[in-house]
Amino acid sequence: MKKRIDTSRREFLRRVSMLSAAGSISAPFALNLFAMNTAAASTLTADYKALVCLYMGGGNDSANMVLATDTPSWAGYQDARSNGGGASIALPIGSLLPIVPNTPKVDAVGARAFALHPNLAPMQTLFDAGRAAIVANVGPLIEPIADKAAYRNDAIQKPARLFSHSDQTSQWHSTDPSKPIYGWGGRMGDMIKTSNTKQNFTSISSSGNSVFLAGETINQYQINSNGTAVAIGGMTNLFGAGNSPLQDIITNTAASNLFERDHAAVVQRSIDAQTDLNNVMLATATSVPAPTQYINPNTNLLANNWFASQLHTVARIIEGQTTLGAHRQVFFVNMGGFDTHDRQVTGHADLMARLAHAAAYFDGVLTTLPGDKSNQVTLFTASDFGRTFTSNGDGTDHGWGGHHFVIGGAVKGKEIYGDFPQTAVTNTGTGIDNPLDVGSGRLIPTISVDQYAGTLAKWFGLSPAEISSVFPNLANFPVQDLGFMV
Amino acid sequence: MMRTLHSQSARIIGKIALFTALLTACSGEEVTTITTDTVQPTPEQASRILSQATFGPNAAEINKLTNIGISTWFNEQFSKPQKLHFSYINLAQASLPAGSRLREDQFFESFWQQVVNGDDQLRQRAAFALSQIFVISFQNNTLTDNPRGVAAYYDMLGTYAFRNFRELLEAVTLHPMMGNYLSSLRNQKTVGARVPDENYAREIMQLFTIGLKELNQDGTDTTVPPTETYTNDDIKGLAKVFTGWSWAGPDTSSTRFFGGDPDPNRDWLPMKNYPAYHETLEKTFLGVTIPPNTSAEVSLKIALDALFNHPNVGPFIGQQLIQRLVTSNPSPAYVSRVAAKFADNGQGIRGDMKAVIQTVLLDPEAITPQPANNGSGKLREPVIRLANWMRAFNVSSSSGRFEMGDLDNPLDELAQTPMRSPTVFNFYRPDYVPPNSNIATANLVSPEMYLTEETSVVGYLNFMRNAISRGAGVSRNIKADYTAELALADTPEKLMDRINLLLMQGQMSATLRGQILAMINSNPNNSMINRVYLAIFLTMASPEYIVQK
Repeated sequence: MKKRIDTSRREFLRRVSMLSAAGSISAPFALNLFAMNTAAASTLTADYKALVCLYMGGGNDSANMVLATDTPSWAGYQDARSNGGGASIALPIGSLLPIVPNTPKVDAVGARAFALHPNLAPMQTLFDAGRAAIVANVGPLIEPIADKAAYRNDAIQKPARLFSHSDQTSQWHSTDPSKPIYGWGGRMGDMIKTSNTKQNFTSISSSGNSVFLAGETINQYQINSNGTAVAIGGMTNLFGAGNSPLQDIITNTAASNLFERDHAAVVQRSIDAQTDLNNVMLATATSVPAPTQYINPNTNLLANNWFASQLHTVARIIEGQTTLGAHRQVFFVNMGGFDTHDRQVTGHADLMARLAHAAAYFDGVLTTLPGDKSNQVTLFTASDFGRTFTSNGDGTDHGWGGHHFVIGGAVKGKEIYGDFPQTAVTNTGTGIDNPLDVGSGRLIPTISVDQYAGTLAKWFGLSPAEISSVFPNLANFPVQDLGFMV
Repeated sequence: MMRTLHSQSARIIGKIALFTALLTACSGEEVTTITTDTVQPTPEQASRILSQATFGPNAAEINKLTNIGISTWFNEQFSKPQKLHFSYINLAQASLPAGSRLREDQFFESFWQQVVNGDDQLRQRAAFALSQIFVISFQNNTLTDNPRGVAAYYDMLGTYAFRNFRELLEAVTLHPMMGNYLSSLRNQKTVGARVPDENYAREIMQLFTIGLKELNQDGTDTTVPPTETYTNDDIKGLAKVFTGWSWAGPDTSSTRFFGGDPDPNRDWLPMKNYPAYHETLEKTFLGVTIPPNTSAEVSLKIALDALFNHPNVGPFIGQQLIQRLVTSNPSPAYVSRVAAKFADNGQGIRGDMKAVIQTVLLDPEAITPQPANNGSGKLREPVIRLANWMRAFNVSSSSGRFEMGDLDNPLDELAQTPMRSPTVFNFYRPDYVPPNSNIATANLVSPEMYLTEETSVVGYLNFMRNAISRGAGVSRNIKADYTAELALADTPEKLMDRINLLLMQGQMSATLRGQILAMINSNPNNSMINRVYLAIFLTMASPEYIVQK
């Protein structure tokens, strides 16, 4: 307890000195003021919890991941997506995997029925076992947008530059438009970092640099996705000589040039973390089983699943939780390849197969870890956007709202949360009017990323004040806990 | 010492101003001949220009540039015949064992052998910069299977680097590798509920021409908050222009449109239009309306002209070229000088790429060493660091092939391979701000910091330590020739002078120099070659080297 206060005090003093160094520049001043606010952080050491963001990079076609199969829904789906030809992106209804949520969905369309993409069998198993839930039509919003008319109303705020990869990715990752370089994973890390003995293992990415994990006071640790920790050679002896100045040179954070200082700081963090990480990785090298291969649905051959391998690395760090003295961790794992403008039928089938295989592997392996971590770890999906409901012949274009999975023992599974949108494209010819369709079946989200994320943050242990700080727009929404977590 | 540098800078700035004036007076679209040469750079200044305009200085080129002067050197570079990667790939293909296919590795071989041996360095460096704006990537499966097509695309960037931006834009748009990468190839007109693919229409605006926000000519936003340059309706309208295009070939059959009956040269010939699949409806975007039933070729011309003439293009592309070659945070005045040259090369011609590239590289902010005590400079990207070593120390590949393979792995390689960007958004975004950093606090950007993380910094150091002493490449047959450095190894001060000039343009601090010399001098019995390795590796490991200022 005493130690913690000391740490905070040191940190406070450090920030005050940063503040005075920042001098008269106004923006950094504000930045640091905020950083000082976060000094009132939660320390949660009674238990362990981890959030794992499985990011489907490029924009997942969730309309072919979770499908509405009741008669009117299916007719709308066929109209929009079936070309009748070999390249048609419409999935055959007979191939789909039915799912039945515990709470029936009856809405303006009627009694809805649902199914999953044919290559999601392991996900269907997780859903049926109550270990997976679906959250419907999630996307970046600043405030609720009821329908197309509201969308066209300039008085209602909308996220900037909708449907662009870079912008919608940034909106999913950051959720606070005033701080686009920081992500909600990283800012949750800022809040709870004092829960961890080794704070540099609070936010961990297995997929390079992510905005999601960028904190204002805490840096994401970018682990190599195969989990190896390698030391920098030549630190003491170098090319036949002793007294190597290598470490002094590469960690010289006293340089006057800002780029040099920042580069040296990354190297210093790398050196600091390397020994700790090595201890964990050595200890877990054999105890956490590696994923099996999956069957590529296009070739019917066994193949390695890179996504599952990344989750293997995450599982090893979770097993090393006690070694690292970690009580709250946020992970980021990226799956690429979802920008299916073309060749969607084969491309998306393989992605779905790998997604389900990776998720099932991870859920299974967590149960084998000491103390069964499967109730303490929640995996959730995110993506740039959902895609157009219309087809461009053999693919789809950038959309807005999309469906997502939340998986783990703490999830109130076998449910679909939120309103499931009408599966039809507005068509003046047929008189069909989908109130959420802003063109080509791009759907106005009915759940904001803030609501989705805020629900996870609450389970993770953030206080209401901390949640409001990380998700300033959450207050614009009437429901702030979607109820999918225990 | 400081005073000398200052007076040298003042002198060269004066001369550059004169030189720029002369350049403006003589430049035309295709011929940018400079006949008067008044600038005789010092070796440090020559090294600086070569570090920005080529894949890196070496002693011979520094000597040459100091002797012939800047303008003659640029003229020579502009008139050098282009060395084609396409030719290398064709030769490689001819020598493949029966039954084996070309791989992306053959492109990497060609890339690195030109880094080292190509005498058209300015063109090659410009092409590399353009390859990070007009991105296609071997990470796309179709492109993996078409290494010759990717080589041809890269050559095309090199060709048009010295022509006009409007031509460059059209060549990019119609290249079949771009067509595959951004799915404009085989894109079809509206039929029933099916709508044209919007991928290329979106990215040509967002990434290749005008960007998302309206810009002043100095690169700053016109309004706060920024004014968006286009809406999704503009994308839908423009997408119609990019319908009906597919592989080249002798006819416009449906079979050929969908990829059958392949022409042997379809991997590099410009895409052609198949009228049956081209949109016949009206096409409306960015205030332009193309009437119904307008041909694909006419529609394309109208669309590309409209994009090319948008006022954003000069500052948007100019700023990115500056970031790739010179500095991450150019002053608004620097951007506006480049944008002005883009708008008018002095002869009333818009989009003259030679004039733009010269303006980027000869601007006072490029040519003058920047004070170290601020946010000046940029991180040299990993590929450029490796290239710097190869050129400074005259590497050769004993097989003659420079088998480098991909360098993606951040753990033991460089986290960057030419033409293997993860997405169309390049290895890093031009506006990337590293969180929780001094750069962020100073409101600056550092695109290359995106690749700088706990793993990749280890990978770079270990990779270079091995390359410097044992050679680089898949069989470590890419080895340096340290003859000149070995000759100086028993006079460590002179050895450091040379390495400072070759790798750091004479900007090494006394502290770093002292650290390296202290290690050499404290191990007097170490071999001469180990001294050379130490001096080069510790220099290349230093943040001072990694940040070009």
